[in-house]
Amino acid sequence: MDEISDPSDWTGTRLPSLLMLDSSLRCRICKDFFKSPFMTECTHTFCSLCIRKCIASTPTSEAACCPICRAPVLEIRLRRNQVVEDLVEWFENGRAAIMTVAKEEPLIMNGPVASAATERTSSSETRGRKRRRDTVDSSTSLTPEPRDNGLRRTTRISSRKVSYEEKLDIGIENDDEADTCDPDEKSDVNSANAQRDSSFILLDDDDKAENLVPCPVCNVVMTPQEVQVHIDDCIKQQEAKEAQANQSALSKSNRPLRTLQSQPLHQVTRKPLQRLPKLQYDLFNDTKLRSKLAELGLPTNGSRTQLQQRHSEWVSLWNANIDSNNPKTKRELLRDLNDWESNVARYAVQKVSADDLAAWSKTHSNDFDALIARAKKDVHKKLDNGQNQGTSSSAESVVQTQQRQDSVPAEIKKIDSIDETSEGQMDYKRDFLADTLITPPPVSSDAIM
Amino acid sequence: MYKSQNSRTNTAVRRLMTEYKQLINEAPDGISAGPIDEDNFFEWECLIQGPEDTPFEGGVFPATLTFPKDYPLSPPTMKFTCDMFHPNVYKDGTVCISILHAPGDDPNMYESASERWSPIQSVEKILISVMSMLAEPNDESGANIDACKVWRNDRAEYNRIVKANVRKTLGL
Ligand SMILES: [Zn+2]
Ligand SMILES: [Zn+2]
Ligand SMILES: [Zn+2]
Repeated sequence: MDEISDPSDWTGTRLPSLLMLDSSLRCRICKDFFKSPFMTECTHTFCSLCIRKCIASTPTSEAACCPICRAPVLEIRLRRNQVVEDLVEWFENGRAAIMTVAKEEPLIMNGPVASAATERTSSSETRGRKRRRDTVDSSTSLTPEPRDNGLRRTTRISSRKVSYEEKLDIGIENDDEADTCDPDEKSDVNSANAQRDSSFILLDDDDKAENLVPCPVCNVVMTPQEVQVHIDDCIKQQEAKEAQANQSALSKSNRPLRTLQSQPLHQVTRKPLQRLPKLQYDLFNDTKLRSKLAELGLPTNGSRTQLQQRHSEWVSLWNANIDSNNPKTKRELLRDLNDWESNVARYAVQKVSADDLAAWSKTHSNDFDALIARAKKDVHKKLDNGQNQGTSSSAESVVQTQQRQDSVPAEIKKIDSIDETSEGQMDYKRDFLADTLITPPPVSSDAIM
Repeated sequence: MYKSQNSRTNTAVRRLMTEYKQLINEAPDGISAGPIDEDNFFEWECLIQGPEDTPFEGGVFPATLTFPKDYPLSPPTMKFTCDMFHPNVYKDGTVCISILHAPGDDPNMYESASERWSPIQSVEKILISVMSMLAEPNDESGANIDACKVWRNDRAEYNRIVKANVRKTLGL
């Protein structure tokens, strides 16, 4: 099962505490390790593609929100989470080796070194259990803090069986309840305060100083009214800066860790990549939309819905690809789009060859049988005890009649209509598939960010 | 299995496989779920144990989960395949519960957004929600009006019908 790894792989090994580390390095949308992690304003991190697709899939009637905390999310405010990206890379590199060690028989590791290691593990485990949230999210603070919310957390966690993802949630909830709990957040606040403090010195004579707030984007301090005027321009500037930074990051590689490990650097000189803007589809008639797709080198066949969905998917794929440290070629991206169109956009029956899963389903069917057997036994016991005497056969027949008058609920109808909207194979012309590096798309004035 | 060719794009299948694996590795009490056929990860069957101290106690209720191709962006649909007399279950067995409704897709218009589907929800969370739905019907979002009425006006009769269904699911 190397193809599907998940945090529960660590349960039952000698290093069960790695489960939480493993879990916190995964995207909550795809459950895989972060790929090009990006952080929302609410400080939740997802794969670039996952969060972009999530935002794109939000119905236009709703505001896109964070899948974890449901705070509003603006795609333009997403920020790369470089530390997480590095953590994922190095954890993934070492995972198999660590797993091998973690699964070794304890007997092999009986030397003095081993016992020291075991001791360390168990003590960190205990600490992990007490101050779990701190271990998960603050890779920086090793010094135990005097205040401890561990007790409350522990009580809440043990009140019922929860998955580790829920544990992360609980940690987050707690932070919402008490802002100062999170050491990360605390340091953020501190640095914000520090910045504000320095401005206070400059503006000390000014009585208005206390009403000043930092711009959420550039942290420059000003009055709330000024922020409102300033913020739009600031975001635009920030975007431009980021685009530049991304490009220079690609060509220079700002990752000293790699050089330390004497790994080959990605020294690819590329043409600058530019983000594709989202389109306000209402402003495009079919012809304009088709020519837009043609400009991008995309197929132009299909219904209006297909055209829109294809464009929207392409924008997500494209922009997430720009975020990647190893961007794909346009040809590969087009293949991804084609896969998406034939697998996701249409309601096709999925063919999965899953030899390894045979073992799982055997276990699984045993679970089913056991569950049924146990339930039957329970009920027999109950019946023997003389409960349930009141069951009348008339009640049963009432239910049966109702069962026959089935009405199709709305959800089912909706699925059917999805089937119908997506017909027609995409037609990928050969020249689109030329295996060239991606060239910048034309920047159009009618585009809306 | 599932070499790079497919895993490149099939987020839905990969995620469903991961969920399946986790459900097996850390099976939560009272629920069990997995694909009906390993060749099609978009159709699952699941079993839910009736919660204790409710008329559903002792029962094991089979249902199917049908996942959309863009899972987890959209929620699956869940349908009981046994007799289920419950205010929030349509007469054809389809479950009507907020976690299965995407934002902007709320047939009842009053469900709180925080309870609705989000891509971080999972099969496990759905089944746990359905379990607590069995224990505590939501009077406001009635899917089966008859069940709503009986549940509201004649609890003894409601309990009796439910218990009859429990016995039926067990083949008694
Ligand atoms: Zn992801
Ligand atoms: Zn969030
Ligand atoms: Zn600013």
